[in-house]
Amino acid sequence: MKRAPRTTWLIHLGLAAGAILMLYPLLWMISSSFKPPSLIFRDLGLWPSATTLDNYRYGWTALNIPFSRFFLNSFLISSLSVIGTVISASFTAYAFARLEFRFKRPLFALMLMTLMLPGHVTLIPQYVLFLRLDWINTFYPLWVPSFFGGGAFFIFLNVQFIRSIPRELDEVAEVDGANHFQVYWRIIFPLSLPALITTAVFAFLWSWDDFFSQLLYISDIRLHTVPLALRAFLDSSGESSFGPLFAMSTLSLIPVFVLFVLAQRFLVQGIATSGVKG
Amino acid sequence: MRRLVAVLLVCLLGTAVFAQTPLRLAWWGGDARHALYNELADRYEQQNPGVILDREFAGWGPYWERLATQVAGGNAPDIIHMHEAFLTEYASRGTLLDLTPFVEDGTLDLGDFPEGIVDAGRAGDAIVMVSLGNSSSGTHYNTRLFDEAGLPYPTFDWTWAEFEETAIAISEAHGPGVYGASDQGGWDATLELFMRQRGKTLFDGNALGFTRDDLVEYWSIWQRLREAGGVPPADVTSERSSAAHQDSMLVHNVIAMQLMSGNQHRLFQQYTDDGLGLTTLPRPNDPAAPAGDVISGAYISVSSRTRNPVEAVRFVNWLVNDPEVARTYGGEHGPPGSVLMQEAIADQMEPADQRLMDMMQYIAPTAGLGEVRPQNAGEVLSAFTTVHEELMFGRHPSVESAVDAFFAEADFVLN
Amino acid sequence: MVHWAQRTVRTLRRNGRDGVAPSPRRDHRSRRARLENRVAYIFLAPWLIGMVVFAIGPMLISLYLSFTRYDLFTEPVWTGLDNYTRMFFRDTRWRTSLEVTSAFVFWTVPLRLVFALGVAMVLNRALRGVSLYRAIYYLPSLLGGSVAIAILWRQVFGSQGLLNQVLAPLGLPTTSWIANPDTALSTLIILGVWQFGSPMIIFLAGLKQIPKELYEAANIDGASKLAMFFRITVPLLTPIIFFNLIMQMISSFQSFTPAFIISGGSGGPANSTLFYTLYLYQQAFSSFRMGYASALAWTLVLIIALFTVVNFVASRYWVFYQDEGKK
Repeated sequence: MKRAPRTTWLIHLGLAAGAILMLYPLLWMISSSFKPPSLIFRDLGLWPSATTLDNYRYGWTALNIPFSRFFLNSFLISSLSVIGTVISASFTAYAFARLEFRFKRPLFALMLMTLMLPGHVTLIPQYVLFLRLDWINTFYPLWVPSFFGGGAFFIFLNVQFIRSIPRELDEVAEVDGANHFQVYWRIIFPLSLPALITTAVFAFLWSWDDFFSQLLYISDIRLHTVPLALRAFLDSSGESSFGPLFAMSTLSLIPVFVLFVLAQRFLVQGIATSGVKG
Repeated sequence: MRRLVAVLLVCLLGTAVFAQTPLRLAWWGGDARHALYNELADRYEQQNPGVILDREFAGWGPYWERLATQVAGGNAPDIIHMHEAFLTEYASRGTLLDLTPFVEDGTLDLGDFPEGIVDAGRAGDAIVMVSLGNSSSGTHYNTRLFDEAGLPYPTFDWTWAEFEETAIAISEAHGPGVYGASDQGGWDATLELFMRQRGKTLFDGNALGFTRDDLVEYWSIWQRLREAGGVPPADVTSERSSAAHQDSMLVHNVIAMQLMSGNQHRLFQQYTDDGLGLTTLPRPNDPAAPAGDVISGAYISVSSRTRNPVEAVRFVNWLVNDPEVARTYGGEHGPPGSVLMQEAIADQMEPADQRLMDMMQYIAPTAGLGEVRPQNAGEVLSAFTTVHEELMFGRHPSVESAVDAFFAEADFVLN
Repeated sequence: MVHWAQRTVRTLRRNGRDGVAPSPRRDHRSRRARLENRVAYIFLAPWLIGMVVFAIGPMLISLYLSFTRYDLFTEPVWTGLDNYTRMFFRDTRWRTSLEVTSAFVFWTVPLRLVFALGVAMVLNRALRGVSLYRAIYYLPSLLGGSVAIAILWRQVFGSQGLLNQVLAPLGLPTTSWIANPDTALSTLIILGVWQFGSPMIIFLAGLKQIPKELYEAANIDGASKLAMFFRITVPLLTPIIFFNLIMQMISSFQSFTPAFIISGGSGGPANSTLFYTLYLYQQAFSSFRMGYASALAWTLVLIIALFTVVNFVASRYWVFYQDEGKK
């Protein structure tokens, strides 16, 4: 059914108005990244009264190593995390959503409990663990765990999506002689694609932004990630460089934002879910 | 012969390569300091083949969280930047190397350090840290706002009474939106100063070193100033409580005087076109009472679990005693500890640095170190800030009741 | 007239009524069941290994530490229930942090979910540039607790802020809303609601999974948009609503970064934004009381678990799963 053009126009108007509310801090940050540092906190308007590229020039090389290196490191860690999370969360979720096994309920409860415990109190034992594995100052602590379950948030997310797929589909396949692995591969995996893409997007963003783990496990400047490099501009006890911080933050948002749009486009257009026939 | 030398050289170089000593060096700071330290570390590596400095740096907050985790996990960096606020926590648990033997055998030369500065690095009898620069807190003021109000600049010997009068006079002269001074009722540095001027201390062993009456008097100063408009209203003060220099009330001309650490003076000056001045914190009204200034600073330590104590101490010695280093370092943490180093950088000081130096020289005869703080002192002091905020916002019917609330809180934390 | 919808809902009702996945009574000794059990553990293997290697150990250690005095640098000393009695009977700041956090959870979770679902419904249409809109509406969450947001918040809720410029001419009271202990938390709740991006994206994925045939059938029957929303969209989306509810609740109880927006992480002014995990963090890393912090953490686990269990029980009455067929 085609919507009346007027309604569409009105929706666009409403969305655009809301978008300004959402975009404002980003616009402010971009504008500030072009202001001379002395103006950033004096001239709070969106349109800079004087502009400069110095923040970008200085920020890119402020840490002796060009920022491209930090982008590369972050990309590597986030990409590996995405792969690990998508595969292992989907696997685990399938078992919880579709299969019967002993200790199912206690294991499910245990899984949720890992989310409820604030990470600050497991930090030190975890640090000692990675120290014993000789993983300090490597990327391993930042991506290897994602291959082992990928975190309770994503498992639970995928459980809920898989459980929204009618079981009749599995049964039809089973009648055709498919075993559990085939059911997973032919039915569950393709039909939970929206959930998997969402999983991939969040896994990427969250590992990209995971400042504290990166801080603990990475110290070598050549292994620095984007968040570590950004935070190097800030020091609450002394001098902070907000101009370069905003400049590099702006740059660091571009790839993440583009990736996000692409993933959503794929979700909107790419998946031909003709619908799940119940 | 030449061949032999060549072979020898290769052997020496070879062993040098294999005998590399990696030292982990950790500091806090922003990008400017990171660049400075990287430059120094590169220089040290060049001058000392075989030594590799692995660098770990972060901003103030993350630095301490990472350090705590590393030390707890048994993986402390070899060379650690220290601060007196955390000294008790680290030193009392044996995580810092006793440097006294190295001072005795000459590896670490503290001969040009004033005795008081050396003592600042002691925990018990052991020297556990060495000063990188010291400064005291002072009053940073905007000369233009004073000129426009037709008021004389505060002098080094001004008193709390004069401070109150000046703050109110400035507010009155400039009208709404501009205030005399920052509200420091919740700041532990002025509290400590005030108590020392009364012959008291912040802590006495594992208890508070001052009485309820002392605190009533201290908070009453600020209560009077708030009522008279000499300091900004509570919500304005609280709004900027954690603002960076470039965003501070002093730089934005909201206040004419900011009481703060002296080593921040050049940063304030960097972000304002108005001329700034620096003077002491207010002196006691009673001329016979002590001035009470506290010397504070940044320090460097060596981990007690380092595998290369000698190499680590050699680096520390280089950092605090090499004139070339001092000229690069340029009083990053305030005037350097060693008198020789102070002389080495005398000719490269900017006006703002000079003002800090002048103030430091004025207070030097009477200034002293803060007393050793008990464990959990930091928590008591943050409770102090919190209760003062409650007082500012009128959550306590009187200063007395706020004081009672603070004493109850301190009692809970310390016991 | 609405027979299609009744039928859908009736089918759904007949289906799963359970929080977790259904567990139809079956004879576990049967070969089939044993096979399924084995297959399940193969699927679970990576996660189980991860739990044993990375998660369980640190969790048990922190549980143990909660019964000790542990200052990070010296060996922990067993103190029995001391940490817990201190918390429950003497620590007023713990009570404050619990109140602050509860208020935050109470307002943020439902409001955020309503916004997320509302905007997701709009962004689920075949509009031009809809992917871009999605990204833009996710932006506030992407920026998280950055400096830019801190400054924006002061520009809006500060003493010279936008809100005061509107209120002042109307003769209404003005204050620095972010710095006044009476209102600071409210501005953080608004911030929390404004960052509704994550649940919105998850709702969008859920909406994508609803079969279009249902809407087409309803359309033919002449059902109104509203009827379709309440009879198709909502029931079929309940597993996802439930997921977002649980996850938002857990993460709101653990809110930490918002406090950095206005107080630089001190929990001020006057402890009015002292979130539970912020207090816990201060105890662990500023006061070096890791034993006490662990006790705080495990108490929080109990609180969250209680709410979660209640929700799982309640979910039997309003969450409809598709996965129980005719078995």
